[in-house]
Amino acid sequence: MASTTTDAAIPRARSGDSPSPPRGKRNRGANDRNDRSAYVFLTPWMIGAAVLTLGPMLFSLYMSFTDYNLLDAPRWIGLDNYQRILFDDPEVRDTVGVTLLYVVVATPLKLIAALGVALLLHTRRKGRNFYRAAFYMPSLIGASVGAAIVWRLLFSTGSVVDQFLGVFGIHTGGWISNPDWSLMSLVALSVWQFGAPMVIFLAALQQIPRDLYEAAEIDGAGPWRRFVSVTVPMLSPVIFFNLVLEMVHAFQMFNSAFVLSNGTGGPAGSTHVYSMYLFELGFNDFRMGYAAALTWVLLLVVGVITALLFKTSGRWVHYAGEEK
Amino acid sequence: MGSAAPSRRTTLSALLASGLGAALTACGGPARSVGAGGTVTLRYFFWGDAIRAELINKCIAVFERDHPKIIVKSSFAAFDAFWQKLSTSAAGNPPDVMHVDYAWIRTLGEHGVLADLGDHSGSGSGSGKEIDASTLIPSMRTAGLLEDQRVALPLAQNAVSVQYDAAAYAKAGARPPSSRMGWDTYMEQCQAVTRHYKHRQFGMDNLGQNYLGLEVWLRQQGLRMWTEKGELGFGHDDLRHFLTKADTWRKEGALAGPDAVLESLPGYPISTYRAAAELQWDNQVGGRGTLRGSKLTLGTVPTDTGRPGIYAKPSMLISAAAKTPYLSEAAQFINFMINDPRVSKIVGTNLGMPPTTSQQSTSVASDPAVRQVQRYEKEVAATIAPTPPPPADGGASLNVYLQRTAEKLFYGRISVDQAVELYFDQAKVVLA
Repeated sequence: MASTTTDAAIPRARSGDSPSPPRGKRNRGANDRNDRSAYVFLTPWMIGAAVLTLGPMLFSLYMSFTDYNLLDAPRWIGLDNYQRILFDDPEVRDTVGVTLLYVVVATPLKLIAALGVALLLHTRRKGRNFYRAAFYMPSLIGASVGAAIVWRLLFSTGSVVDQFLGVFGIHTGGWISNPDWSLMSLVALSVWQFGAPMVIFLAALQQIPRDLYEAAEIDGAGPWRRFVSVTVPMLSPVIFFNLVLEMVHAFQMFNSAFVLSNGTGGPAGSTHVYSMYLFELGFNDFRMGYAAALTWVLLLVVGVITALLFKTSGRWVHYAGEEK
Repeated sequence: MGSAAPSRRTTLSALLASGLGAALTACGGPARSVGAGGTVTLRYFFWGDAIRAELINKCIAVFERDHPKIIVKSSFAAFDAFWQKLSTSAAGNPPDVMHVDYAWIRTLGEHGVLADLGDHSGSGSGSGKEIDASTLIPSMRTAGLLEDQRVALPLAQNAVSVQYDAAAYAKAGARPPSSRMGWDTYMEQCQAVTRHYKHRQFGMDNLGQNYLGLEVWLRQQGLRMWTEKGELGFGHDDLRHFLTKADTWRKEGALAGPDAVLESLPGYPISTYRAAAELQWDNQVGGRGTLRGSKLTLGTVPTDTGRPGIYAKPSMLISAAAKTPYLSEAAQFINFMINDPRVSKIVGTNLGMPPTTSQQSTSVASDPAVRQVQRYEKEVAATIAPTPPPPADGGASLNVYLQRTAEKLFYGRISVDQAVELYFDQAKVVLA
């Protein structure tokens, strides 16, 4: 399943990575022709990438070294924006704290939920397609403003959740207006959208050869042992894939925090995530240069964490065709 | 091993394809609509809701009948989105005519976004070519002037009041707000309301989370929020004093807590029955009453010093873009909006009270809300101060910051001293 998503990506990666791989003499002409037609087909995509992605990205990189308010021309100020982000802005510290807490709590919970449900669906053949679609649905609508508004109603004072917890003697009041709980309502909204990683997990589960389980069973492995020694290692590339993807998404979380707090990041800044601060600076305060610097810091931090994950992945991710 | 697990390359490429990079893209503004056949199309942008848009479009229809060569194409957005759209289009392709909030006049004026209408309005106070500014009521004459440049004309005016639910106050046995009463006395009345409604409804919305509260308080102490130079007109001790008072009143149950404010969003505690009064612009009394579903009454603002603390504010101004190729047509439309009595007849108090004598005299008083605001403005007319200097560039974001900081204070996350430090630290950055 994961590989179907990636088919489109492979030629792209190759065309960039290795423009002139070693070839046999006889095939060179044909290959060159193939390469040329590949580039022709890739042209629309490359124009799009250059104009719509690369261009604005480079401009935002330039902006990050300037003081730019949209109304006057950008003024070059060197590293001042970055210096302020790293050392002088208390709001950056606060929003990074909130964001990290969200990433650290929401990402694993979402993956656990996704894997758990995928395992349940995997063992059950009847109605699997229906449930798969049903569980996937929140992923489609989950990031929408409408869903966040419903969430807001669910977690306010006197709401369904409040009354339900009240039955068990738990009186938290409205989560969205309680600084200790508000972020958890965002985590819950994120976990609820476990459908996308679940579908990927489910597909990967179906790819694990049955004979591995049979061999394990013959060796006397129980269900837990089979899960730990067969399922998890065989799934590890997909777990890794989902982990990186969900982590990146969590770092960029904006919509739900914005809607749930009505754009305030409240209560008391408890849902004021980094991307929301960045948005406010850019589009409320019109400090575009500073906001651009914040985006680049975010990109670098996410990049570094992803690189670290890749580095440690050698120890726990098992790839096909690799000897351990 | 089996071939079921994807290869390293597949996983890596999939991650790349899924777009690891953040979306660092920007978008351009809409294309300029070009008038044809000798007619000029003015693009007119304002903030508000569908109700306001309908009223304004009725005005536009009247204007277009009078001026067959001018077409006015209006569009509107909610307040926050309005500024986002306006600022992103200001440098390239701004609307020809736009509404401007008083907090933004300096920002837009100083950066050359707004046209100087001086030549079109007789240098601000006399009778000009297209715009007659001589009809502006006295307290509105300086509104829209920025260092002698006429960058905007007031479209409506209003004043701060305390709007309260008279029935709720009467039921609780509380005396209504009045400038003849000190703040502590009024807060005792609020406590009575809160007690009567068992803390489900508070006596008043939290004025500490509202820049209006701070501004009125400062003016009652003889201070100003902003100086002519666009600097803050108050210091650490003044803000500390105000926030300490507000926090005490909140703890005593007179003012709504921050949770009531937050849970009422995008409405207001007064519209969700979490508060029975609110410090608010008088022209909002009709709208807030409709949201709440019960009639609200206008009361004067309590004061400890005898100073009323309120001033005549241009609730909304109207400007032409410096870049518009149709300045004369834009000026004609602006004049229509501020001077034509048919406009005030159509819009009522939706924008505020009429800013000119030509509209004031014909403003309809059949709407009880309009009559109430007219009565209130008459009542405070003798003591009301003229429009003070506009906030500095960045003043609007500082107001939002005050709200945020006060929220943290009222949730008990920070102390009053910390809140004061945070506010002035932020002021240094925003106003730099």
